[in-house]
Amino acid sequence: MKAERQKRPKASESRDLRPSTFRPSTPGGRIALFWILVSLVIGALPALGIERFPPPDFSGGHEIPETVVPASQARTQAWVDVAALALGLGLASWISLRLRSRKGLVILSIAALAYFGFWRQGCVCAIGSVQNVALGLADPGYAVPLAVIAFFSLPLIVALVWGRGFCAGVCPHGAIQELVLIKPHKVPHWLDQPLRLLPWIYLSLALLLAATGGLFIICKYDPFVGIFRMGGPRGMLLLGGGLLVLSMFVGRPYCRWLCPYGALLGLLSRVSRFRPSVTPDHCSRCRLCETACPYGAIHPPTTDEPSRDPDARPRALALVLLIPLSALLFGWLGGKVGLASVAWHPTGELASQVTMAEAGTLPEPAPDEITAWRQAGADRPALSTAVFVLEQRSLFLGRLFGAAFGVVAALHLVRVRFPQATADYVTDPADCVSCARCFTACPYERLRRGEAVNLPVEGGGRA
Amino acid sequence: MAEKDGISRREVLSGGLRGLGLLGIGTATGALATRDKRDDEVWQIDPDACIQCGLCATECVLEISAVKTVHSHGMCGYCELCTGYFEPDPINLDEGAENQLCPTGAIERTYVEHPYYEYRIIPDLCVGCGKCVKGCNMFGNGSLYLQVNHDRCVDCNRCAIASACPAEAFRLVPRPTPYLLRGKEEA
Amino acid sequence: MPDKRSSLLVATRRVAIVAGFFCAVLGGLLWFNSTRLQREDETFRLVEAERLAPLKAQLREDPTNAELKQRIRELDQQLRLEYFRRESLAARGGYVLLGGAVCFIAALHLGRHLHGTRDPVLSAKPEDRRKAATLAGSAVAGTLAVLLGMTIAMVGGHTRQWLPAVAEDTEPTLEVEEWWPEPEAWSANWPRFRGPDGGGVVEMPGLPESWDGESGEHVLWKTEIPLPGENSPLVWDGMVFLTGATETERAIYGIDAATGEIRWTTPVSTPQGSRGEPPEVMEETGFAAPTAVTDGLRVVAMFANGEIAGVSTDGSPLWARHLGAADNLYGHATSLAMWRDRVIVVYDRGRAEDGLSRILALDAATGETRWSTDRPVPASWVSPMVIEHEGQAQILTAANPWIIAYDPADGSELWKVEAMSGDVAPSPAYHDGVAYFSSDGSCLIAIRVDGRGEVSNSHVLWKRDEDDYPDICSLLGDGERIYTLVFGRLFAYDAKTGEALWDQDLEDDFQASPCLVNGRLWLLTMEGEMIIGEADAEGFREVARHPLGEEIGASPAFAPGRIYLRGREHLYAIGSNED
Repeated sequence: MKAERQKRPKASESRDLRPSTFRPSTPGGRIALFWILVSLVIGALPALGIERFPPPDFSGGHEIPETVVPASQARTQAWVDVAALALGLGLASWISLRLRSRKGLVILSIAALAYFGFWRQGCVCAIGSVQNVALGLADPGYAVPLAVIAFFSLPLIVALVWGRGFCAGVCPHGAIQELVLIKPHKVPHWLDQPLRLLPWIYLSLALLLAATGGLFIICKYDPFVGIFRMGGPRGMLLLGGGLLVLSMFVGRPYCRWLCPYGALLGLLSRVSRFRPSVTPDHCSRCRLCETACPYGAIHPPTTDEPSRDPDARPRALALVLLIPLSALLFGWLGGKVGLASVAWHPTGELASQVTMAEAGTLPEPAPDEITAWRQAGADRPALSTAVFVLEQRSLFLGRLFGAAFGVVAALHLVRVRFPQATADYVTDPADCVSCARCFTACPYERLRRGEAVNLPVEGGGRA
Repeated sequence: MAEKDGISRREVLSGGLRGLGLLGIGTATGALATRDKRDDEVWQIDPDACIQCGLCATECVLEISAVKTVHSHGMCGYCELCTGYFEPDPINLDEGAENQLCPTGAIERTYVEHPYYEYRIIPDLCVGCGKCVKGCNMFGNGSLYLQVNHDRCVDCNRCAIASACPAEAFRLVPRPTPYLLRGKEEA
Repeated sequence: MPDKRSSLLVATRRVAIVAGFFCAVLGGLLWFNSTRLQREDETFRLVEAERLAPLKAQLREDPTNAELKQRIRELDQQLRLEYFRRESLAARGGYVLLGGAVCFIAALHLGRHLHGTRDPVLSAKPEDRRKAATLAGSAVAGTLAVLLGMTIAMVGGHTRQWLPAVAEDTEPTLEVEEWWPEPEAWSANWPRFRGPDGGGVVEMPGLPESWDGESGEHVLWKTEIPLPGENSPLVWDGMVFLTGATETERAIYGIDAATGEIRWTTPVSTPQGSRGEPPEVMEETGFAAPTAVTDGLRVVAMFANGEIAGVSTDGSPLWARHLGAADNLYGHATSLAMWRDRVIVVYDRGRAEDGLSRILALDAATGETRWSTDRPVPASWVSPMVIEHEGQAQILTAANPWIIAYDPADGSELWKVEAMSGDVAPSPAYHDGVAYFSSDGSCLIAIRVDGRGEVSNSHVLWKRDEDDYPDICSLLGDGERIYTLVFGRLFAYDAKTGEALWDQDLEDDFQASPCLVNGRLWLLTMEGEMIIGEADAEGFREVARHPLGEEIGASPAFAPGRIYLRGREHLYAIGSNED
């Protein structure tokens, strides 16, 4: 500060302009005089963080207080979170695949909701971490915190081996919906399956916006984080409350039809090494598990002879034809969306406002963005360059994510249209969140546990 | 497992895809984790970029914002007429509510010696609206400025205020030095 | 037992009803409370300033009204208390609501449990899986089609809402009142890095025959420069200009050529530059490596942190700008050039894919951008050279991998050659329609400057890539030969053919660029020793060595009868004492 004062000899003259040294008769006159003097000083100096009134030397020896700022919380918290995540994933997989215990999962869900939800207030979370990872991969200057990397990768790796254990008992978003599910109503297959495209659209868009400029829409439109924090924007609370009421009657609407991370987990679960099987040994086709599953993840058999798959040929044909076509189509469209999305970015928004300001079509008063830009020097060429770079990036990434969506959409369509041939009631590994409800419903499973059951007859109905 | 050819073929395919998935996750994770890391980071406001738009008070996910005013006393001019404390064109230079700019009365003004007054922020009352900051920056030394208070900040992945900030004044700073202070404290 | 069970069931049902009702009422209350907190209101009406404002306005009319004052104070206190009460109500109410919701849900679960898990009633026949699959498949396909159509409708007609780069919308026509120095005045002075032609080739009368910095022989004066800098002095009429900078301070100095007195010091500071993070630089580069430029009216200087400033030759500040934070491994070191009244700034930063590098022409009087052209290159250290060939002025630049010539009138590319690699630093040489470039680890290349577009295959006169090439020292050319200084070794090449003629080890380190003054080579070592020698097609003959006694990184400046040398700490004027 000292050097700055030396550099500007004029600043010391402002000592004489200190308001208090003027003592005209009335306060009003004094204040008016002050404003005149102030404007003179302002006119003479650029207005940014300059000592217009140098700190006084107190004759009475008054001590200038230190600036106090509260200390930051310790960071060990992040590692506790990662440890809790790892423990939760292990427990969830073990309970759902080995113990096959619904009760255990409910207890784990309550614990996860309490810890990751209400105690940690929904941050850090695996769902949002995809955005950090996308931004980190696209922008080498952005360092993704190690805890976020762990939250991104651990559930995915677990999904490859044991399925969606994360959804079953670790994710607070899943837990809160699971716990309020009172009276599940089935959503018909023909409605459920198209809706399951939504997470992929959401994911592609979120990745595009995160990778091109750090817009994190998944965090911004998260429905439950407001509930975990007991406050927040009213729109967020309303959305969260509405989804919770819906969750009382429809199983996990967010997980199934919105959650972008769940979409990824589902995709990976399709090739998982171990997966829950409804019945330990014999399936009598009683349909009790299908009825018990609130998530539409248990599908009836397609055929009586599992060796014969009438859909094999059309499925292969559809895959070969649809995937490239859909990738190209949505890749092209993604590029368009990418270019349009530039306008949502702060840089793009600023550029269009600057353009409007130059054309004189910007309404007064000027938006804060323009004010801030002007205050920072109004570097027009730098802004042009930034927008240009952003456009190129958005075009490329839009095509990339669009094509990826195209592939996934084609796979989804083929999977829905030509399901794998099965003779038993089986869980769909992509849609199953390992909630263990089907185990408690399956008569043969209950028999295995030593419970008294009426064994159903083959093909439905009861003996 | 290999009861039938079909099943075993599917098993092989799924094993291959699984390996591919692991490889992909591993590569992405490895690339990000081995990157030259700065310290663990938290959000903070660059006081020089801040334009005191007022969104800090309303956009924070907390009911009362984690952003509050900080006062670098070493930079303060101890003015009798503090443009961060008084409304424009105040009626009297005293502590009456009719003269104060702060909507929550979070600035304490005490007489030191003629003609100097000391101003202190009461953090419990401050809601981070930045009115005092605007006054101080426009006409004074800029010794008042907004900072994210890290005893309250919940470290959102993407700070909600940062997303709304029109001046893009939020940036990530190392956790051990989580403030961007002005004046002598800057060093 | 059944009685107990059914009474429990009734109890849970009642709990559920009460808890549900409680949650609904409390939720409604909290919702109302939050509307009063105005969180989403854009204008922050925190404690309802609108209720206070009219009273305050009234008081302003009637400042002595004590009763009104009292009313304002009471209302103010009431509003503040109310605000904080509402905030704490919102916080505590949330927890109570959560408790109510937990009771509600728990009671419902318990109720369903007590009700008994009745086996579901099954329809006689399961749905036909394949029929269902057909239906669902059509639904998915239909959704995708609708999605496609909707997205196309939304973004298909998308157009850019902003103007293209500045280069296209500023008109390049010259204004009449523009001033630029007469060519005679320009070449009679030392207005930029490496002299008026930017190539270090000059005729200068009356230079001293010998000197010795330590004994003071022929040292006219020696002045300590307060701030360090690797930039070279400029000379115009009776003044010498140079700059200095540290991490926190930057200044331009005007020094009286007759006495060595620092006549003025103008600090340079922009809000962005002084508040921003200081750039990372190597110690040898420092914060003031770029040499300034002067046209006799103004001095324009650039610093490693991206600040550029113009001052008049009497030291009064004209303008200062910040061109964006530097991103440069060693520190920004490219010197400025000038064409007419425009300062030419090559500001290469970061990696090529960052898109940060650009070349700008700034108005020397105001600092306004006349044009700006993006450069597809990473950070570089080559100082631009302005030449004229067949009536067309050209700015010669080099970076990895592009050597590009620009039109100084509008910033358009005239020609380019892909040739360089690595960190490109030595400045070019030019003689009669041929430009010579070189850099450590890439090549030595001679290019005819009359091409247009990419001329990598058509206008390269010759190219060598088997030798050692300079890492810092600029090239020197006299039309017949090209000289390079590579780690203490002087090389000579035939300018027409590129044939290596000879090389000689001078057993010294060099950082300053070599000069050709009055037909002799002047080579300044890092120890401050000036080696003067004659070179021809056969070899190099050393004529004299004059020590200075202080380390030197900057290149020398020449004026009639004078040599200016900038050591690490002092500026020396060397000349015949009888002048």
